[in-house]
Amino acid sequence: MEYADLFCKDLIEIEAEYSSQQEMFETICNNLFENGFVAETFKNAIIKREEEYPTGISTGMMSIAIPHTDVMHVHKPFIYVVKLKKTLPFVQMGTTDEWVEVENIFMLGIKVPSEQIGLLSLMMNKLQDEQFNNGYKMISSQKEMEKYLKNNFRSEGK
Amino acid sequence: MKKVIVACGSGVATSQTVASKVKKILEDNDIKANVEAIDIKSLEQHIKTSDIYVSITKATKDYDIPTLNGIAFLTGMGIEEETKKLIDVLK
Repeated sequence: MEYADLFCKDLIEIEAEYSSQQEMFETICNNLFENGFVAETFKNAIIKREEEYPTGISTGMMSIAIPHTDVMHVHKPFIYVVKLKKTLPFVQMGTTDEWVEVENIFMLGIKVPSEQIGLLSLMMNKLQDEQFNNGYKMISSQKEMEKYLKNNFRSEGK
Repeated sequence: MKKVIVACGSGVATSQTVASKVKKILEDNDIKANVEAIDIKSLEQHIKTSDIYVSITKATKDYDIPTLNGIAFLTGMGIEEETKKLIDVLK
């Protein structure tokens, strides 16, 4: 599986502004559903999963959330990227009451877990890489971001 | 052989990622152990036969075996400390 293929400019939002997690999940999940990536059940499943097992992470260089849910709600694998204009609070992974102000969302649409084992490690490595971070932070258009992510995630997954 | 279990909510993404990281650390240190990513629902059964539990969700109770912070292996923050504990128990 080629990880670069998981990124697509229609699934990238730059300088997006949301007033709550709920509003963001609604918008993203409707978009994914309309484009055939997920089942209608995906939205509720991902919201519930985030409540039970939160996914906020801070790597020291970047704070992100990686919402994901069971494979049965996913039709086509994807990574949905949101670069937020204003941070959104997410509960930190592994806690129930510690919050992290998240600047970026990487929603993972995982269809075959065994093919995507390396994906999250690669993503975490990139997020701790200063050069990747500097480039990422400069990007201001969806097209540019698509190209940047595809280049950075190419040929790593087999 | 000693056994390490890694559990997350789904078994889809995080526990598999952390398990592969733990495996790599053990290989680099020439330590042989079984590392298994499991579903949190089956934690109680697995814990009885395991030597270390790497936790990604908030622990709701204390277990009799050493428990490590799995998030450290994911994000790299605090990884040296957790790696040391891991090696101390297994070597």
